[in-house]
Amino acid sequence: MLVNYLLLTRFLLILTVIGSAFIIGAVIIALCGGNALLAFYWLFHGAFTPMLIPETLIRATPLLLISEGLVVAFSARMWNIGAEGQFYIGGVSAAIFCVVFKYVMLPLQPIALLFAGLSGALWALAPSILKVRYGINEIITTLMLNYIAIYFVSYLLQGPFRDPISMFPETESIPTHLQIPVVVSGTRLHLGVVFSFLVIVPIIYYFLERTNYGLKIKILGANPKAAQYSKIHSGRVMIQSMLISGFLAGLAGGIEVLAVQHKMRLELSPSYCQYGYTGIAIALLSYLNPILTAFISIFIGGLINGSMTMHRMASIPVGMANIIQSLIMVFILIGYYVEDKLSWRVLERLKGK
Amino acid sequence: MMIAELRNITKIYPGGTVANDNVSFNLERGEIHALLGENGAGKTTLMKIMSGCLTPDKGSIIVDGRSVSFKSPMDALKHGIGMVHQNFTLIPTMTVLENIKLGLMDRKIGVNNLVEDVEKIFSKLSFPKVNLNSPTYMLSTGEKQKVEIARLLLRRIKILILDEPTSMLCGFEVDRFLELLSSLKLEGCSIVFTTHKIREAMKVSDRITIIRSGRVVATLRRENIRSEEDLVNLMIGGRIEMKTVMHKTRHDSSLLLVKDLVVANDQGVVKVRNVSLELCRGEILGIAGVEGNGQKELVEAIVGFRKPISGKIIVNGDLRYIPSERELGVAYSLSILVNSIVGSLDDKEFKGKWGAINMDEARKFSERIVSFMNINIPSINMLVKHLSGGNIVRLIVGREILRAREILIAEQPTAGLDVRSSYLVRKSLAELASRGVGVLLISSDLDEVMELSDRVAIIKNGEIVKVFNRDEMDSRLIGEYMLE
Repeated sequence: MLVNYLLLTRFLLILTVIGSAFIIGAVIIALCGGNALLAFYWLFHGAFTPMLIPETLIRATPLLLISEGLVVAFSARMWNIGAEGQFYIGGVSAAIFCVVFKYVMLPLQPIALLFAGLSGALWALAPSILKVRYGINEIITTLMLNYIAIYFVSYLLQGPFRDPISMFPETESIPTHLQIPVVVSGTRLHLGVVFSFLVIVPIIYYFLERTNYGLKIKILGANPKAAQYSKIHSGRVMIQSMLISGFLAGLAGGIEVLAVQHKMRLELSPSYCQYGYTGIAIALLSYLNPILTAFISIFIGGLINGSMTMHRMASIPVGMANIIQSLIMVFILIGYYVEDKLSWRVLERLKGK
Repeated sequence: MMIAELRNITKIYPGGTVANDNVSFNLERGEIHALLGENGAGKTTLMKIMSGCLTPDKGSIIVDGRSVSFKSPMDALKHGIGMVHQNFTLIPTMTVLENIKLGLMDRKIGVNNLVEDVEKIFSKLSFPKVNLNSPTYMLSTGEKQKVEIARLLLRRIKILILDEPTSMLCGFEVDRFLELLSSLKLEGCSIVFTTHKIREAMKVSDRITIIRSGRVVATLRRENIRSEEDLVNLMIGGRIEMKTVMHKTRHDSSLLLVKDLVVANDQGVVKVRNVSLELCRGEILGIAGVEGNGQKELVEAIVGFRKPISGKIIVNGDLRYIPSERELGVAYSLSILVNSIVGSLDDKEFKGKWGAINMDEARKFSERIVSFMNINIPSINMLVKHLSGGNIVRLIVGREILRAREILIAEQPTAGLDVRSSYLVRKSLAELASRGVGVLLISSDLDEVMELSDRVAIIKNGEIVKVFNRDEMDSRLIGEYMLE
């Protein structure tokens, strides 16, 4: 009963956060001389017309995997800002794996993806050790490693792994037998989408909410002193939560390469998506709830796709969707504050009854 | 002649705790007024209302005959009311002078002028020479307190409120502090201080107001009080008769062995010197001492929070711990259910298949704590941050008592609890001992320690100066060892 009330408050709050961002977005569009209603019509049309829903889900998949990982890391209060880099490292690893093993006529996709995930995790290892051992701020180190990752990938794509016959810095195409297959013919909806939503989401939910280890992560995140008190190996848990996060970001990169791009490109995370950074917003907006994360990933995925329709049909710049996303971030922070106040109100109301 | 008056103050905290229930209190010009009550009686809340830190839900504040309302401590300061909090508000890394300036931010005072004024006040407070440019973390508790007082006096306040001013001081500092109060009174200050120690209240105050579970029980003039006994009865409302549960100590097997232990605090000051202790099965070993004499560091070393410099600690069995710093024991943003198994995550009882938690067992256990400690809440899924302070203590204490199998370190187990719950806790500790659990009891409540312990070790300046057996215990004698 009580919990229902609190969940309801939270749900309404999320709607308010998103709604407020759209209202301010509308004002900005209007100020720029655009038609906000028309813009939003095309935005939602591009996102959620039945025909385009598979595309939205495909866009949502890397966001989902990254934000699920971030939910784990953030729950332990490890502020991993490096998902973008881990995503790139995962992507390039998967591509390299496929290029190297292209003549092995076996379904090696699971191994390629595992390799991508492990590479992503490896990329997250150094910052977490620095944090645990020497208290070095992981926000800075993970953020900086993003640039290193992207330039490193750029080097690989211009140099050793450049496709000799392509005009662009990219790897050669991945042979069909190593690609992740499409599950609904006539669309690009691939197995990775299904796997992410139907396997990864429940696993992360179960892991965080029902297992002993997940509880340790949450206690550590809620009160590091209480973690020490309950004899939790804080350092180990912190590193492991970061590795899980890196693994999922790497896996996201791998899936994107094997299922969507079919090669590693420098625009694996285009500037209008920035999967690694958008994932942060999604994890926070979902209050670190793995199930809610799935819905919000779809919503944000739709927003990204819709913004391009909006651009084409209503001549509103794609950047507008970015503005709305950023506004959502600002309102999330306000929302946290409001929720705390509201939950007290709800409690008092219930006591009065 | 009243200088300030609080009329019919009611304050209810968001968790539902009624901290003050229709409380009226007045302060005469130039008097020292003690506000006496047990932990959790509502003293601090009342004083925070008087100093503008909290706003009352009902009631009015009258200063110099005029009704006022305080929106912040600043408002109260403008009316000449200043408060020294129990947890000091000095910024540790800043110097004494900087901290003082910080308290005067709204007043433009030149630095030369200020240094002079500060030194004048320090000499008035018979403050030993302290370097105004040394960071405040290097100061002793007594010195910090004087800096706080000086800071308020510089604002020429008329009413000085001190919340539990003696709780952090050791023996001789307390006496000096009480002398200081008398001299401040001569300077024309009207003073209120809260305390739960009757002796201190009797020593310097002109009047004493006794507060119990949020209500004022009586306001008495010093000269009308016949004995300390009367005050005790008023304070706790007729002591609940406590039958000590007799238990046999089996000296055959030791659960906890501490040998020649030396421990330093965060600043590297040695706080525990060559302490040796043995805790046996079925025994309650009390540690008594004035706060700050090394108890904290000793416990931290035993439970593994602090690395000792030298010495040995041998723990033979499962160790549970009731921390005096309650925030150690709970994760505020998680539910009561989850917090019920904090510290027991790896116990077999709560483990299911595939690394899962056995939720049924966890729920059962959580409900057991709730009913055992009479925690009044709508649901165990409620977040701990929505509980009142008293209920958080109940949750922690109840959890640890119910989980204790072999060793229990009970640090201030009844602080913050009402009389009834305190009694329940004491009874349970005795029962645990009779079932063979070894209990190490650290409490600043000497009566509690004497009531329960089979042996009492007196700790002073980090050393165990004396160990009393049950038949040798005598509060006067123990007090002497503690303060000597």
